[in-house]
Amino acid sequence: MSAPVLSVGGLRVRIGDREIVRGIQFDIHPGERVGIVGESGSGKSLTAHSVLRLLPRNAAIIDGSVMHGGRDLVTLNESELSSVRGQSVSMIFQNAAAALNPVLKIGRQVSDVIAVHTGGEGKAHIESAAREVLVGTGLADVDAVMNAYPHQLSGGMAQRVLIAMALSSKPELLIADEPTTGLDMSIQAQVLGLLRKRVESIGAALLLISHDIAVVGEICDRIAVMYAGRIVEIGASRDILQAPRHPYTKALLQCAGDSSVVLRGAMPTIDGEPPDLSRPIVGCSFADRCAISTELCRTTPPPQVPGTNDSLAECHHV
Amino acid sequence: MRMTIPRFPSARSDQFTGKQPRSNGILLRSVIGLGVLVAVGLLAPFLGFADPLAPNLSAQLSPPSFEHLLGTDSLGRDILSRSVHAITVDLSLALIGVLCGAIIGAVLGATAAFGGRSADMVLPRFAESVQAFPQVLFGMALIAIAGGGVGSLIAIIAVVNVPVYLMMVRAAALPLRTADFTEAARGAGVPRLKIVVKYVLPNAMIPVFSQFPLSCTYSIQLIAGLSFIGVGVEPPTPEWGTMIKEGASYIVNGVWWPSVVPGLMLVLTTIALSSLSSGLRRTLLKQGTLG
Repeated sequence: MSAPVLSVGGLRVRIGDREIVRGIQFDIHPGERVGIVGESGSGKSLTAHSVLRLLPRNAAIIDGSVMHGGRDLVTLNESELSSVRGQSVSMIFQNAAAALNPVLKIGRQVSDVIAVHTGGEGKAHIESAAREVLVGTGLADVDAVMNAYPHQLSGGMAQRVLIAMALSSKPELLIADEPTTGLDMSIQAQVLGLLRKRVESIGAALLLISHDIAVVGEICDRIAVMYAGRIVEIGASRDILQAPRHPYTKALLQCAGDSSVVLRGAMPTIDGEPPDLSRPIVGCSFADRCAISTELCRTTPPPQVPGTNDSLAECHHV
Repeated sequence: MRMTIPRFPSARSDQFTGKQPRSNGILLRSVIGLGVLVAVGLLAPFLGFADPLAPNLSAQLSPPSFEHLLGTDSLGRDILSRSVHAITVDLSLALIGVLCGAIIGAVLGATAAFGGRSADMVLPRFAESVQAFPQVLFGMALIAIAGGGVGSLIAIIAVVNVPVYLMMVRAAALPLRTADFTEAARGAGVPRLKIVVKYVLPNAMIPVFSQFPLSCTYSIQLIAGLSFIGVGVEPPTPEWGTMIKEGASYIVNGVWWPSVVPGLMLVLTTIALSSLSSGLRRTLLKQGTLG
């Protein structure tokens, strides 16, 4: 197998004095699509932002490495990072409409980003390149979109523009942080379909962050399930969806399961709350909410138990 | 075929009040008013007014008549001509001064927002101490040190306006530092300086547009005020404040025109400029772009 396009090792990130990401590791191989799922506050988004060090001001990486192209992104300075950002690793964000500069026309913004990465080789050339990447996203009237300001676009159109911008440099890896949040269901499916198609056509790897395990399962080759700052289970999508090993993954799949039960008011939930990350966690972080936890779970950190197809589950009872 | 892109109402629009957005009459009226004022001021030398500087000792303090529509001053100079010629003097001094102040203020404001903790401590304190100092007193002090003249007046206007724009741009830029689109630009590898110049400043400048005419209003009043107490524009240059002062001593004798006419010009200009400011603010608010 070829060298991974991204290799995260022992990553720990804090916000304020709370450790939100508590030592995670995973690899993404060229062209592979990896999804991270988890509930709000599980650290999945922070993990994604840590890769390009796009962290909130009060957040910091405590420990660990993010290897990409033979370099550790954690140790690069801002200007070295700028040459990675948007070049070999691109990122798209949750709220597409807010991720566009409100005072610049779309055509101008796309051209600007292309100019940054090509070093400005002729205005006409860049503009035609911008048009080309926008056409590639299936936008209905590219001329009108290029002349529009961000507030004139719908959420779905804005996300298509962002995808076009992010992939314009043909990156090796695209990080998508909940790219369909705020879009309605039918547009979600379109945007995800587009994302998958475009990533496939340029041969890029994808790191998709989502709270929706079904969406991730649809698109990704592998799934990492995060809980309280740890990857509690990672494996091939089919294995995770059909034969989950970790109790949290099982519970998550039950919640996501049958949407018809919601109408009967019997939506399954996971009782309890995620642990308080401002205090150190002894043992397994899921122990308090777990149906099969024992005394061992509360006192000893769980081991990483390997399974089939390079899968891992972090539990005493698998 | 061109498709029109649907415009989605922004959160700040009138959708919450349920009112239809009205056309912005105040903006239109103030632009027309100012346009006429500026046009008359610029064209004054060609409109056949009397020489604003030529004394006529046989017609001192003559009341409004067919020959001198708004009368003459104590040296027999035509009040109408002087008041009209003063438009460009007052407006251009204020405009240049405020422009300098706004540019310096915007740069310092951006520096405060992006220059790190110490810059954000020092610059706002500097702005506050300038604002705490009485403007007229500051003007008199600077003129006492550096001497009078156009240059000093512009410098005074610039300095008193710097804090306004410094604080305004800083306040607008601070939330933009972490706005989604600046983070997205960082994520796309756009260099830091370019993010400040192209992504943050243009968005932080929006409140500046409506503040600008208002600052001109205050500045014209400051210029006229300094001239009134004799430290501003020097005679015989036609300027409203100087004219008001020259005529002030005759008002008690019923000779009102040498002071009242330039006073009215000052009032009209002030109304036009502050209307422009509130018209701009309403328009920008309606578009949901004013921070």
